[in-house]
Amino acid sequence: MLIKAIGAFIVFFSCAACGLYLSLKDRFRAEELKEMKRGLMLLKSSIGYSSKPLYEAMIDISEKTENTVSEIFEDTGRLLKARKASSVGEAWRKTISDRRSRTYFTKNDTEMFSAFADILGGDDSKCQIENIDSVIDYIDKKAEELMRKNNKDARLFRSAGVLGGILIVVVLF
Amino acid sequence: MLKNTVLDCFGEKMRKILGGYDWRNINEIRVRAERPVILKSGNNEYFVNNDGQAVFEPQKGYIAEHSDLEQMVNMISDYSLYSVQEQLRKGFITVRGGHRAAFAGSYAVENGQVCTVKNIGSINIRIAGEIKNCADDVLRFFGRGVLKNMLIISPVCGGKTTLLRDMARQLSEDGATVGIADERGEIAACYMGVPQLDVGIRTDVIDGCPKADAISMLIRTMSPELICADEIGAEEDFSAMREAALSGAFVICTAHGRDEEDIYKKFGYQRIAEIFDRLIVLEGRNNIGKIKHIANGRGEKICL
Repeated sequence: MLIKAIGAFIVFFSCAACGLYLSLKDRFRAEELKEMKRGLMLLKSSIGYSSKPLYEAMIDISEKTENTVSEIFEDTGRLLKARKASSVGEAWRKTISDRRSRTYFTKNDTEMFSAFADILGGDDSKCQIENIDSVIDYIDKKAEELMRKNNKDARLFRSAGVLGGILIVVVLF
Repeated sequence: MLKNTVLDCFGEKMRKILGGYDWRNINEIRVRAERPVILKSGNNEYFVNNDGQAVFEPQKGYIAEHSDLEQMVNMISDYSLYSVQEQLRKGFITVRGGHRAAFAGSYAVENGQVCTVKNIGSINIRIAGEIKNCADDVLRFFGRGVLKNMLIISPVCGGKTTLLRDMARQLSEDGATVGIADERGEIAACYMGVPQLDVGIRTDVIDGCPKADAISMLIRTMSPELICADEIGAEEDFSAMREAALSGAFVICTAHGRDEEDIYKKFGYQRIAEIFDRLIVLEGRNNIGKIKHIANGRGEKICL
């Protein structure tokens, strides 16, 4: 009986946790996108006002940002400093793909960031700033979309998780 | 160290090839798209094969690809072309170690002004060289620590800048506060504000700024006892030097010419005699850095 109760408890909490995770996933992605936006705003000022080389700007930004975004900037900066990549795009893609399992960015996000990194470093400051602005626009739109979606779906996922858990427990036991 | 800083200018593939090469006495590396890479040592030319060995036949040399040049541009600019746009407009970038990377390709012009260089077809890496103590003879002649307004005269590639740099270094080491107006980055070869060539411990450098402005700024802000500038010529350069002389600082400059007569013809006797106490004339290209004679500002030889 005790084992049954423990089993039911585990099943119920797993389902509730799944529901909670699904309800928060979009919010986490939106927060990560906002952190990336913060990093890109800092990069924009480093390029526009102080004309710092990318590696130096990225290492500085890593100290001012948090979590995975900070790691992405730091590792890309270090790869560039060590001249271990043939282009900025290559370094950026490698860093993001190394963290694929730890970020909430979707395939669309990473494709957008990669396209941005392919142009990063070349041309003049004006083109670089326009390039950064286009990614910031993308982030703003996505973050807004995600928050709207999250407000609508979050309660649904949480309730579905809890109710699904109860249903399985009732059916099985 | 020298080899590492030069190798930093190349992509991985060329770094491997050139990494195996014996670098002593190499002054220039010329990389042209779809042409063999050339290494120059004085008047001699070599090619380098895929194994990094010197060869004399161009057909056995490594042929540079477009991607090699693209990677070189990335490495030379620290992957940040936007941060070196100003230098690129002049056609060259000073890299870590003081080496100079010069570019040829299609230059984009807007409103009559060069904007940038695109489609780079060739890159010339000039390896920085400094000859320490080459100014010993001059300084011994004037007496150590004695400052005078001096003009170093020689034709191109005669060793003017090398002599000027060593004079700045030695006088700075001897206790003088030296200011260098390094418009083209040839004297101190600054990289991110730090001189890559030894110009002494009491030396301040303003680089990338027009000489006349740099001299005025140095006088107003760094209170130097000695100001050094390379290749003077414009009217405003002379005005700035006059200002320096009147403010109590000494100046050492260089100018292109075979001898003092050339300089008088070019700039006018009065101007030179007014500012400079000594004119140091170098032998020229065939005897780099060797002093031919020293004259006073009025052109009277005082040492042969």
